Amino acid sequence: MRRLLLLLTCVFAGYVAGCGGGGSGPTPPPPSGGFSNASLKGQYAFSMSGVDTTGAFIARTGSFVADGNGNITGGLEDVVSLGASSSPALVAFTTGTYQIQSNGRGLVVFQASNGTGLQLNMALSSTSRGYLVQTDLNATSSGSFNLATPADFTATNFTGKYVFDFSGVSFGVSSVAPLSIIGQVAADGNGNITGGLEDSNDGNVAAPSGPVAISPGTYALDSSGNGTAFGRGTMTFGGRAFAFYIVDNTRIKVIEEDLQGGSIGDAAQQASTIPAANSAFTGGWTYLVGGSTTQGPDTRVARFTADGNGNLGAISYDENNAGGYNHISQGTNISAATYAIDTANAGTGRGTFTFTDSGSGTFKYVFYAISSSQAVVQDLSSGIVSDGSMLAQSAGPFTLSASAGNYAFNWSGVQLGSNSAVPFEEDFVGQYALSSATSSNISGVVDYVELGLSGNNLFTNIGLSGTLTITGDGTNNNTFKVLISGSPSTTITFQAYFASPTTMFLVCSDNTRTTAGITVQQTTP
Amino acid sequence: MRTRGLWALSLAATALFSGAAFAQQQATAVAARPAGYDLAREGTIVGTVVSFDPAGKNLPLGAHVVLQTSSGTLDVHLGDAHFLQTNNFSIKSGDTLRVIGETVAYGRSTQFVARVVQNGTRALQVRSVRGLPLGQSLPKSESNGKQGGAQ
Repeated sequence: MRRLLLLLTCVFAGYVAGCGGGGSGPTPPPPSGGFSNASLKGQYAFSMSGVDTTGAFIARTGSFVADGNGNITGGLEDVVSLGASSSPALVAFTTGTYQIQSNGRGLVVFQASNGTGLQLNMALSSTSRGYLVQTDLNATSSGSFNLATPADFTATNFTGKYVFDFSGVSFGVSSVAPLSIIGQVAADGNGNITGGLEDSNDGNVAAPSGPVAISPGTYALDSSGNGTAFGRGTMTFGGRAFAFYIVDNTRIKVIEEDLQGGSIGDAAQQASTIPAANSAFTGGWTYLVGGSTTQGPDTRVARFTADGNGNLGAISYDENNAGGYNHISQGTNISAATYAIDTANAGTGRGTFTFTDSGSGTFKYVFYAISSSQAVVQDLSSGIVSDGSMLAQSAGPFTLSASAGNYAFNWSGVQLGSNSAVPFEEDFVGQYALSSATSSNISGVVDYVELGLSGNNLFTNIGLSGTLTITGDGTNNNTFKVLISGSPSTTITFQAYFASPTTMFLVCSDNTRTTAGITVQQTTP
Repeated sequence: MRTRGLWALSLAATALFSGAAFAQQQATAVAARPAGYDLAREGTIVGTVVSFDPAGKNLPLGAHVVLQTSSGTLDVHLGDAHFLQTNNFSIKSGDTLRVIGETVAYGRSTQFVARVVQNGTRALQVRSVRGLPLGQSLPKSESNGKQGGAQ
């Protein structure tokens, strides 16, 4: 508690000035943009995951209300902290405060009725979305939040087919292993989960499950008042139990609360138009997955094109496997590059794709389409449990002039250790401006937590500068290199893939960290 | 510089001296690469600890131990360093370890990874049957018998 109080004092006294260890490197640019406290107004649903100070899995999802004037007027969250308790906690926030800078960076502190608190740093990508990093040093975690629609906090608004991606850990006899479950589930708007299909990849099980029918279940909004006030409910399906928070009638945020493990993710309503045959799956796609291999933490980012006839081309792939970086480009090295929309499970949006690289072996994936341009994806390659997002890639070329603007970002991963740090998760949230210059075109500010460092673990208001270098038409891997002026200062080189001129997936290609994430152009109010 | 496993060296030597045409070597390389962890391929190694790096500064990330075996030195990846620490599993130079594990692909190379490590009378499973590094566990809850932990 003393640590938290010290932290809060430090942050509120000098948030803009920064209380993290600033080192050599770029000075944070003065905040600019159109955001303010008024930009965070209304009810928001959020979800985060990471590890506590001992490395144990922790996840939280909830809802809060911001008044547009720097005050949190209420909130509720479910917390699964497997290092602290085997039971989930339901925490009510009675009050809180927040500050939003003109660049969209912010700080929010929640106070709970039981005397505990939660401190998060954020970066708004718009007034309705943003990214979060936990900065109270009780854990390191990151996630996102979305503006909610309270009018949709009813059971009848949870209806239709939803595509989900839950990741976390699965309990073994005396330990845990990574877990990924993706699939499609159907809700009838009347409290029933009528079925669905899922693919489970559980590190404690001998092999990925393949497509498995989801056994029916039920769902209900809380009758205590938390249902109507915060959109909280509970549900069961597929033999698992969950709590959820409604964002709106197209999305819920879900956290697993049962005896099988801990996992968290979103479920998004599936569009009426999804690929039903190979011919409907075409064009460029890019994906980002994170998880664990037999060696440790792993992140992969790639792009490919689908020809509408079951064949993949134009593959570009980058991986950081516990510090080992590997790049694959399309050439004679690539064989058996194919995809298939699952017609045996028609209507689910399920598909698979695979390719073999002569040097790195065979890569296999399964995905469930949310729409014709979005999907969740799970890695089925040997020796890995990993999942993430897949987006249709807009047509190139991608150029700096078309992408110039202000960006919010969230990166998360594992820093792999140094003379002054043990390997541990790290989480970054921040904002930068991208110019159309060919060098030194990135200038911004970042807040981050590195619990593996000895001494200072929290870095706020740290300058960030660097260069995005677009290679060729930009559709394959590009270089995104930044200097972060914390103490110690850190240079991170990412391989960056455009999903569109305003959205990029990033994977670190250094041997010092497996950090990966997303950067999205801000929509300024 | 990281010590390479004997099994990895053997694999490399086999490829170098196979006498096959280059194109054939490339094709063979895919087939010969160890895939994911396979219980059927497991072996047991016994050796004396030459060095132990619990902080995992060598790649891949995690705890590494270099063993002197009857065939030479072998770099063994023990998985999550936190997991060893949480389970109070100590290793020091001169200890004799028995390791159950196998060589798996690591990027374009290979790495010997342990699934079970034994030091004296203590044995610890550090990887799942899939070869995924295990995380720490919680004591059983008195209320529901659930176990938890993290990767």
